[in-house]
Amino acid sequence: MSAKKSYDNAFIDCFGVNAIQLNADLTYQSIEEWDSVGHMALVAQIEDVFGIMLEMDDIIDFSSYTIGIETLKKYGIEI
Amino acid sequence: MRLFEALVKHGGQPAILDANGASISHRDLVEISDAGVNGIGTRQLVFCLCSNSVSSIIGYVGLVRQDHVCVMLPSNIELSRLKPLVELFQPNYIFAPTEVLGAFELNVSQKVFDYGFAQISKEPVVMHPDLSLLMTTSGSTGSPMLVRISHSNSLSNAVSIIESLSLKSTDRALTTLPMNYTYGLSIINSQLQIGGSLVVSDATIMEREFWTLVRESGATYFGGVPYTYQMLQRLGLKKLAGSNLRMLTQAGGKLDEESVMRIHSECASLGIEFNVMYGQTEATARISVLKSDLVPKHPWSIGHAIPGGKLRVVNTESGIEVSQGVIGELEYSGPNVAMGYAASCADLSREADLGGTLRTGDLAVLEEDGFLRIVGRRNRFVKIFGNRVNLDDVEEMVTCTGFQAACTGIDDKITVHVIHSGDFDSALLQNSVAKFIGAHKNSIEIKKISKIPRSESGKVLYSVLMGGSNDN
Repeated sequence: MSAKKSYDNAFIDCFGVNAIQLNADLTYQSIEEWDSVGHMALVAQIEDVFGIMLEMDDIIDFSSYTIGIETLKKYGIEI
Repeated sequence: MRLFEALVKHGGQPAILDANGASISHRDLVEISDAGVNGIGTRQLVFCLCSNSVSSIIGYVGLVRQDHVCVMLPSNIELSRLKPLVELFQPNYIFAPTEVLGAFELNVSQKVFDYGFAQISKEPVVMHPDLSLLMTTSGSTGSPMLVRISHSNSLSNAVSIIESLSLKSTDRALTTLPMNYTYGLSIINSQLQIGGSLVVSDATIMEREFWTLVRESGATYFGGVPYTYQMLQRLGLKKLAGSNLRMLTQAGGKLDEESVMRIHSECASLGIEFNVMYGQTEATARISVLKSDLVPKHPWSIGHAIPGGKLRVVNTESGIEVSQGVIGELEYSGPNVAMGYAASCADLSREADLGGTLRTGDLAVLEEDGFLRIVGRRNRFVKIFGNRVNLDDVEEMVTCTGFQAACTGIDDKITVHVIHSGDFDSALLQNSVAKFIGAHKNSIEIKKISKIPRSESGKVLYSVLMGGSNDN
């Protein structure tokens, strides 16, 4: 599976969103499912599929679909 | 004597600090909050749609001071849940963010900054003179059952909390918990009572603002539920270094022993106390505290009853205290035991029914060292991220959608055991259960089973489903 597909799937699995919703408007608390509990689930899934451990600052700043793409670059993952 | 009656004596001490550093003194809080509710009449029943915002606290303080009765609800409440409550309790006003009132198409008659009052009914509500607050107990499931809390319940619990946690007027608490949740409200009440300050923010632990406030607001403590501490552990407690924090508190469900030990030790290395507490809405909030210095030896214990309260382990049927080492039901007595429940506005005029003694529904045992350990629940309630959920309600909901099912659960996790041959959309069921209890779907697990284990008398053997032995 491509990195993009794995990344997108994490959002789709955790928040039950459609592929069409995966854009800059998908931010922390923009939908009911993306609350702090959902955030931890998302982080856990991303860490699992990419085999990384996110730093605390990166977990907190991972506040939108697009910001997350930038964050993962730091870990050598190109979405 | 009422809560907030003597606030003015704290004078110019800051009562509320917001995220931008603006502050309101105790003296000003009295003035602003009294003025904010002035004009709504006398002793009104008000639905308070709470948030961790300055206006929400101002409104609450004013309403309590002026002897109105508040039903504490979240500001993000869904209309489908609010409507039946309005029908059952017939409030005079809804106090909520003006944008929420706008979305409900209600007219704002009086504003308190970004909050406002909308009049719903002019009909006076007959209420017992001691009644001050109504708090919800369960999440969104089941019939609405509110807990009736008197002025003296609130005041006595605030005073006991101050004593048991040694709160001082120099303490600053960060609002990490919802204000409509007893634990969150108890922090607000005790801080204002002692003349301390509240650092008001609705930022969650997952947001930059929270961490900025931890470092820069001078906050000396905050509270968390088990899930808060799971997140903190994942983020790393060492990030709390360099703050003014002197204490963290945990309540709202059982945190596993290993986590308690780990958090305590990490906090200790930062010079921060970690106090583990136990409570119930029916006891206004707090029942007991395990002080930080006792945690290493008794991480499994709920600690000691708060000043003025008493804990006993009794036989569920007879009510007689059982011997040390024997499992029984935990019973609490104290001045903070609520008046009772209310299922509709007719109950608001009732006298106190509980008589100062509360059967907690928790099964407990007094260990040899004199410390109490909770070993389970008598009924089928679990806490899902702070919300009490009745497993029977979930089971009924799933059964109603056409499944044969049984539900088990521990704190923060419900398992729905479903009989189904062949394919079915377990994600769909998972989502509908999550919606029903108002929690994230990751807290629900759907398990396919071939049959529901039952006893000879036909009772579901939940312990077998949970992988335990057939002992009930």
